[in-house]
Amino acid sequence: MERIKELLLRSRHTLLLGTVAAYIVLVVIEGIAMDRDSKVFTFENQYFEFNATNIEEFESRRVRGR
Amino acid sequence: MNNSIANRFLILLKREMWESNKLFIASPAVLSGLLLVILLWVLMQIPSEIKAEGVSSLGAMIDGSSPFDIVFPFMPLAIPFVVVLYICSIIYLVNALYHDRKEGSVLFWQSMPVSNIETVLSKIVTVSFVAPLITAAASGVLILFVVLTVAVLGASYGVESIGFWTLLVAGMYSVILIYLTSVLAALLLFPTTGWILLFSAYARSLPFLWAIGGFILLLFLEDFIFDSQFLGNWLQSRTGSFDYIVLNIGDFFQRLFSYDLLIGVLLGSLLVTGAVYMRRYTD
Repeated sequence: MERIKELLLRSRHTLLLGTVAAYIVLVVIEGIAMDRDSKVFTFENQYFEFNATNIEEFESRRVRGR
Repeated sequence: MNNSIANRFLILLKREMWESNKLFIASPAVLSGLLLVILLWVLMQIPSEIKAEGVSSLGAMIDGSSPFDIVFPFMPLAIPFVVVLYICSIIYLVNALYHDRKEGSVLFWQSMPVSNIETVLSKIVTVSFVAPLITAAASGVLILFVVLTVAVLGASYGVESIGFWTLLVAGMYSVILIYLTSVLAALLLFPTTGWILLFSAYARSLPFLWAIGGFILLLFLEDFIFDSQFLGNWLQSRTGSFDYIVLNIGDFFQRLFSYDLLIGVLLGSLLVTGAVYMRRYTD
């Protein structure tokens, strides 16, 4: 524990990185525990559909549509 | 011993208010004055028939209601004050720890019998509890003016259902709800407070850009590397504007012990701890 504290307090940069890393880890654990949906930027309407995590399918549908 | 800690903390709070009086005292006071002038001007422009019609329909709406159920005409008056409070709070938090280091006064404060944790806590209490109090008081002046105006108009147009005391109690209850709404918002946004304070203690220049840029970079990296958006969802969980509005005191206490608020305070405390330790690096 002392060693971790010493490492974190070595410089302002290590302290920032350590704090932010701990914060992100806790946010992710909380997200998993609360089963928060890993939402993506989706945009849907009857004329257009876009899913940022599936660019390949969007490309292939666009080519097929030509 | 406890008394001396309380006194020291009170002095720290006074110091914060002296240093940030333009942000937290002058801004809501000026806004209150400005809105009073605008309301007076608007009132003078409205023809008396429309005023009579408005007052009688308001009288019909609140007829027989308890003062605690007629806060709806007063609460919207606080919107400009809450917006100004948010802007001023961000400016204050960005400069809170950065300014001390920039002008070198951090060395003076560290030579005083005041710990870093007390200094950082005084800034958090100022932004979360003291500034909302001044905002509520400033909006209270405006609400009092509206109460007096409506009561005078009600009396002059013979609308008996508009009683002065009923309106006054409703107005003062609204002021309490405005304060509780602002405090609840500050607690729900505690991780944001901690985040800005951390970067305010870290950055050698442009702390606001560091705080915003750092968060956007993390959002991007998480999505790009792990194809997940936990940070984005976390942010989204605190952006519903209706989560902040308190319409009765029981509602406030119910939300005060809600999971979302408590986990936010817990995670925000981690960032605040980082900011406290960061104070030891004085450039």
